[in-house]
Amino acid sequence: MRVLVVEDEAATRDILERGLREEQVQVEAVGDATSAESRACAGAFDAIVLDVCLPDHDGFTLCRRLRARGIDTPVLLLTGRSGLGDRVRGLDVGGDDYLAKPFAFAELLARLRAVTRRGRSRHLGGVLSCGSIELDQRTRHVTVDKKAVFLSHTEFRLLEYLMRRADDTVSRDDLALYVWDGKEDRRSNVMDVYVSYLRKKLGPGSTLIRTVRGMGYTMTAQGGPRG
Amino acid sequence: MAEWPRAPATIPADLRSFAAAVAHEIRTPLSAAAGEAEVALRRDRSPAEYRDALRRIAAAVSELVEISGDLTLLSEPLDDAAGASRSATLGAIFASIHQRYAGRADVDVDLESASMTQVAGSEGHLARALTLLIEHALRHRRAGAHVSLRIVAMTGARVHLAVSAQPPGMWRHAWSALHRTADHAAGSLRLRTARRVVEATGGAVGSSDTNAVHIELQRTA
Repeated sequence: MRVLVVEDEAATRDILERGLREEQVQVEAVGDATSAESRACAGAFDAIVLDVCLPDHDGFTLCRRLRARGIDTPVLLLTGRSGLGDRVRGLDVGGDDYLAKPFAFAELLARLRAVTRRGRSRHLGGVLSCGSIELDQRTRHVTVDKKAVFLSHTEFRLLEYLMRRADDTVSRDDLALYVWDGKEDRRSNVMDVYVSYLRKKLGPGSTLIRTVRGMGYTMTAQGGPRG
Repeated sequence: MAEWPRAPATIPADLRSFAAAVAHEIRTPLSAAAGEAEVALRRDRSPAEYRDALRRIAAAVSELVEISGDLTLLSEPLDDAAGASRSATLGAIFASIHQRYAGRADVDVDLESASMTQVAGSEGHLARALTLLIEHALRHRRAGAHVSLRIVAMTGARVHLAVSAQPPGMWRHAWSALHRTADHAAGSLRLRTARRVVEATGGAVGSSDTNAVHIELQRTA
């Protein structure tokens, strides 16, 4: 599971990071809403743990903005405000669950498992499409011009990530983090090798993946020169 | 059985908002302490790991003790809260704040600007008020901002100080919190306490931009 933690209080952010990592959760943590919005849009997270009181915008506003941008990652709101009005507001702006501080870590983990289960079921049957390529996230079935293409696990993750961020320039840092779980460096040629494998297997669909020199890759429905 | 007098049916809005702000302030270190203890106890660890966890719990408890101290300050009569009848040396106030942030590269207390100037108020209370404003800036600064406390000017009977976050300053949200009296936002207990102490000495707290909080203190002979 990959979780984005958004908490401005350093001590709480630190314990959330350490506690979740000990449970084999991959964690990225930020301390303000602006960084959180950018990370949430760039990264493929299974859930977001979002503190309501942040220094720049409140968590309710951030949650509403994410939903408006089409980010449907499950959000678990975490807050020192536990009044009924705040709980209702949190759910109304698109939050999936609400947990008041101080919280039991075991309960946080259970709620995270619950929201990610619901999140997965929300994605079930979700088919990503870009030009002639279709990718079924549930069956892991990929087609180019309706013809099946068989991809390895890493190739599938790479294509899924590029398709989720279609039209964006995906940096090598993001690929290293989200496709290789931080185990590869941005300078590693492993990602170039996998992009090359992927292009070969995609055949006519390979032109949809363009290299953005010095930056990374971008995937567009129109395609173009590989760069 | 003698009947007790009826409790008021409603609680004033100010009190409710204040109670909500205090509850929020308390819950934050409380959840850090509770989380540390729970995570530490989830599995067997080395003595060093337990010591680290206890250190972090002690830090969260210290924060709770400080919040309790701030509440006591707010509950005291105005004169006692400020120690208005007393006077303190700015140099000594700055030195105690400097000591608190010793070793932190992101906080600068300008000891050179501090002097033997005497101001109205008790050393401890004024040091706490200025520390609270530094904490407000630290909590609400934009990434990379450096926080400093310095004397800006001395004019007649006033000393002008500034707690700045430069560059890129504080978030607008934090700055506007200074201008609200019934504020739910995080940090409002800090601001309330700082303002009460400073204003009780005849001073003032305000800001004209998002990068600094300005404090005026009353000079004494």
